[in-house]
Amino acid sequence: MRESRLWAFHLICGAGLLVLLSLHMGLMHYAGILALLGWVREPVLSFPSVVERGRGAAWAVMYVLLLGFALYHGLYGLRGVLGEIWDTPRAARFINAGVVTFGLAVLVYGVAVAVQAARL
Amino acid sequence: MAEITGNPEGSVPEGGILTLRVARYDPERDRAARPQEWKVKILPGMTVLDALFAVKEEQDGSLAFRCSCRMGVCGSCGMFINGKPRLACNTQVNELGPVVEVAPLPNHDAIKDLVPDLALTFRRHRAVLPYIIRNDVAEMESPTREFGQTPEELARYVQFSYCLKCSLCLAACPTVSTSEQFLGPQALAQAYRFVADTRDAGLGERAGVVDASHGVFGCHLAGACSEACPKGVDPALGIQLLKRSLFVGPPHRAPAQVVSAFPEGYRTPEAAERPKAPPPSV
Amino acid sequence: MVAEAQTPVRTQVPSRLSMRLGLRGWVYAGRYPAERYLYILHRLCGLGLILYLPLHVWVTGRRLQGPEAWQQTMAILSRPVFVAGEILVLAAFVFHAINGFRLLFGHLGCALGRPEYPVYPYPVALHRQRRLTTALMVLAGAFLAAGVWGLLTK
Ligand code: HEM
Ligand code: HEM
Ligand code: HEM
Ligand code: SF4
Ligand code: FES
Repeated sequence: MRESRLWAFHLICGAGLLVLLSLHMGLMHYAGILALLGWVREPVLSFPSVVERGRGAAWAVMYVLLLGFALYHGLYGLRGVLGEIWDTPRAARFINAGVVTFGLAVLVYGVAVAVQAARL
Repeated sequence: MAEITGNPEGSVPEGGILTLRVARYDPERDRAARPQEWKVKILPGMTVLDALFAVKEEQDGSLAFRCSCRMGVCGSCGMFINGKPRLACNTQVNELGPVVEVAPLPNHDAIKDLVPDLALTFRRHRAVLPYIIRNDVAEMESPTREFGQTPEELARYVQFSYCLKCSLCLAACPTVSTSEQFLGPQALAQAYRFVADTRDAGLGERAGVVDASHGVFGCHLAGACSEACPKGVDPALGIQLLKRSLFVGPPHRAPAQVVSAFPEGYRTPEAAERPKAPPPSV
Repeated sequence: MVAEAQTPVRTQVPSRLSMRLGLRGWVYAGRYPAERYLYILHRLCGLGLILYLPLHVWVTGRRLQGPEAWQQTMAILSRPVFVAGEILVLAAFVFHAINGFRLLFGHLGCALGRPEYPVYPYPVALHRQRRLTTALMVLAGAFLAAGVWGLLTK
């Protein structure tokens, strides 16, 4: 595939992450501030609140999207970084196979977790 | 570039003594760089290149470096001078302080002393098809008239056309420092120079080279190339505009058509409002 | 990719001295300007985050094992080493996200100004967005401080 397509998707995922991951991190790390505004009930990391969040279909979708975006964006970036160190065509095949395999494995596991968590 | 014109290390008085420390390399003797130092008397307006000449003429004739124009237009004398890639002929010693350290250009092979091998740079340059590409082959083979281009259209790419192929930007580029395959700022900026030329229709053909692995997306906007460039080419800007062109096409919709030439001395009515070519700056 | 062209890459010279910087060229920004340092940080933080992600997915997957397993995991994560790690992840995210926002535009040739006649002192496009860059870095500092404060007072 043309590099620009892969790269455009890297940027699109970056933009998506900016929204979704900011939500995620906002919830996890700025909960104190959000609690002042009355938006969350602390503590965000207790088992009940984790399970409760995971239950909604909307949350499951959001997590799957977050996972997909982060994996594609991050692994495309990693592929680029590695490809600049080992820049032969042979190395490129190896790196591509590596990131795709690794990405799919984490994706499958992560989606399974999110789906099962929605049923908890 | 503005930073380089400053005088961070403090100036040295004319008539003072300069310590010139050079990383030397003799392919028949050395396996690594060998530092050597000389004292040089500072003359008014002395450049690093002048100092190297002073050494070569008066102290050590075996010192090798490359130059031609000694006025910043040929791009032969790129070296690593006090922590930055610069043109030796374009750098006054009184910008640098009493100790001037010179080494061959980073990211290149040194052939001898301060002479870098620029073959790879030229090969990268050629790889991006650095010439006007058009579909009207007949007109290209035997031109009948000229192609129209306004000064505004010229302004969209003229800065990129100032490139000397001095390779300073490649010496500054972090991606080039690990990857020989990466096209590098010089070639990518030249690709955009032609893509943005209204007479050109070659984006698709060049995309085969720049829109591939080790092409334009090896640029991560670190900006070091633009800082190193002695001609204001600003390769980083050209590269980002090239990326954009790959998605939205070149800045012009269709390549310029042939136009009949105006009579000698003719001025269009709008000519007075158009930007004028700047007066010579040196 | 550089096509195999007509000229040989290396001419016939007995030996030569490679000045290639290698990985040192990535991490050494020397006398180059701010963006050159941001490039290093952006790359470092991006790599840190992608390293963290699979571990994170595995750790948060522990919630499927029930409350005890989760509590146990959280207890481990509240050890100082892991809290320090969490601060690093937070810092990496805050910086990478905010600088990434700048890069999203920059990479598409936006917020860089237009080409012009190069009249000395030569304009450099990245200098035109210095104010934006500075403002974003101040913002990143503020977010980071608030986040760390939140983490340490939990
Ligand atoms: C260090 C700060 C972070 C904390 C405390 C945190 C916490 C959590 C928690 C508790 C969950 C489980 C779901 C839930 O409770 O709602 C979760 C899920 C997730 N987090 Fe984070 N997270 C952090 C940072 C990140 C970062 C930086 C990323 C992206 C690289 C990320 C990506 C994800 C993803 C993709 C999931 C869904 C995993 C799945 O269910 O498959 N998190 N996170
Ligand atoms: C014995 C007589 C001459 C000698 C030894 C001589 C030598 C040179 C040299 C060495 C150059 C530089 C070449 C280069 O940069 O490629 C040059 C350039 C030039 N010469 Fe002469 N030259 C002579 C006579 C003339 C005459 C009679 C004219 C004009 C009628 C002339 C016009 C020029 C011009 C216009 C250039 C600049 C060309 C350019 O920049 O590309 N020269 N000459
Ligand atoms: C939060 C929103 C994010 C934004 C706006 C963002 C933006 C960007 C941008 C624009 C680039 C391109 C840099 C370049 O080529 O010059 C990039 C690179 C990268 N990103 Fe992100 N990113 C975000 C989150 C993440 C996350 C969560 C990860 C890890 C899972 C990640 C990992 C990487 C990696 C590894 C690179 C390659 C670094 C390099 O080539 O120097 N990013 N990011
Ligand atoms: S872009 Fe500038 S630094 Fe690079 S080769 Fe051309 S003139 Fe030299
Ligand atoms: S000698 Fe020509 S650029 Fe320096």
